[in-house]
Amino acid sequence: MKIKHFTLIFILLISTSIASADEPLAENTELRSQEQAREMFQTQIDKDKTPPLLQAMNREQFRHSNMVRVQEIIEDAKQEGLPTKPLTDKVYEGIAKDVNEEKIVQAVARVRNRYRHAYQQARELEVDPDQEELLGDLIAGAYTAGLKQEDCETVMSSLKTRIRTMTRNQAQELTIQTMTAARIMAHREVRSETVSDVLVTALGKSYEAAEMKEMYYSFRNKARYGSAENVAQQFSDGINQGLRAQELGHSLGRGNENDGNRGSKTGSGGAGSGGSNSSGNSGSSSGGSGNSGGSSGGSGSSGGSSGGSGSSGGSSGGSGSSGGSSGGSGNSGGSSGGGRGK
Amino acid sequence: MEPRLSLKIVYQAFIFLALLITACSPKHYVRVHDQSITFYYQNDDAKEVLFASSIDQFQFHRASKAVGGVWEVIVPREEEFSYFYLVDKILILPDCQSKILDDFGAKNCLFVSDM
Repeated sequence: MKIKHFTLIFILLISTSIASADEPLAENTELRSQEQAREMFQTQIDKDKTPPLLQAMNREQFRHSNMVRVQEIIEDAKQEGLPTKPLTDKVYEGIAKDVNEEKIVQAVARVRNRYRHAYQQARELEVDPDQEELLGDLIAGAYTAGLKQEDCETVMSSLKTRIRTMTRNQAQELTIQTMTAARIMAHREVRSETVSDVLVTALGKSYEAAEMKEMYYSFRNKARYGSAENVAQQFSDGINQGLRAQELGHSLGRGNENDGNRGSKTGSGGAGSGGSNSSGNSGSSSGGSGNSGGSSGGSGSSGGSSGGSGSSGGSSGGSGSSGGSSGGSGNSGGSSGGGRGK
Repeated sequence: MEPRLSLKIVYQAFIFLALLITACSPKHYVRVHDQSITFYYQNDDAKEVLFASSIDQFQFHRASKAVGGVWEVIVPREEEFSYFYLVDKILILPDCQSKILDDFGAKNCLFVSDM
């Protein structure tokens, strides 16, 4: 009898404790599902009013916490005067690439940090407010292309030293052209250290805004037909040896044997003269834009232009346009040359 | 004997030239128009080629297959945007001059109109 009572009491106690342990969990689950239902309902009601970004995240079934986090980051950026399009674009890009939502949130935060740092650097240079955004975007663009923060800071430091004796306008112009050069070289996958090296050397040799601009135009043309890293390194060496911007393209044309050979071969094919190294070289140097063609000398210039386009002539001669404008978008554009033109 | 030999040389030269042209032909290139930009992507084996860019929040656009296994897609002209392809559901970064990090551990191509 006693044993029966004990057993009964024991069973009752156990079942009560199990029931009480379950209760909060059930309550939590219920609350969470209520919350989710409310959110879902709210989302359905406000579908027309919901910002497209939120709609996209909803469609992809982002967790509520992640949606809130993304919105917070965007809101913070807005408050700080940073552009928000790169942030929203990152979400869309992540969705298109089927990236895990946590990683999308991390990427959005990374983009915000990059812009925050870039804009901070732009502000430190004390440019006019209307130039601040342009400069901030340029710096952020260079970072996005792979320029490391420490290398950018090295350039900034040289820049600050250099512009100390300049007028505000001159300083602004030099800053913008320097950062444009950084961005262009980084886009072409020149190593971050090399980018910094070229620019610090140029600033050390008192390059002015116009020369900086001439230098990156020259770089762009040459990098189309060869290794951008090599071109940048040769520029750095050239500047170190005291070459000015207008001389850079010229000297590189002579120094770049590979390009020279290619130019020479295609040059001779196109113009029927060629053969000489000089025409070949100028072929390679002036092919894309004809910018430096003039400086490559008489026969070089003609050999060059026919050489440069000659290399691409086969495949692209038909379209016969300026490789310049669109060559930028195709690496193969480089190898097949000017044909990509408009 | 001689004509046969020269025929053989011509034949070999032709094969070599064909191989050279094939090897040199660009896999990816761009043509810029006044209002639009056409992207060309060479892939004879692909069954489906989609193009996505920051122009329109990375929405996918189906490329159409033209002659010779070249896929083409036309987008509105913008000064600068990043893009990539999805070829048979696989992310593909074509051979492009300018690249940027995508913050997901890979890269995107970057189109810049004045480059």
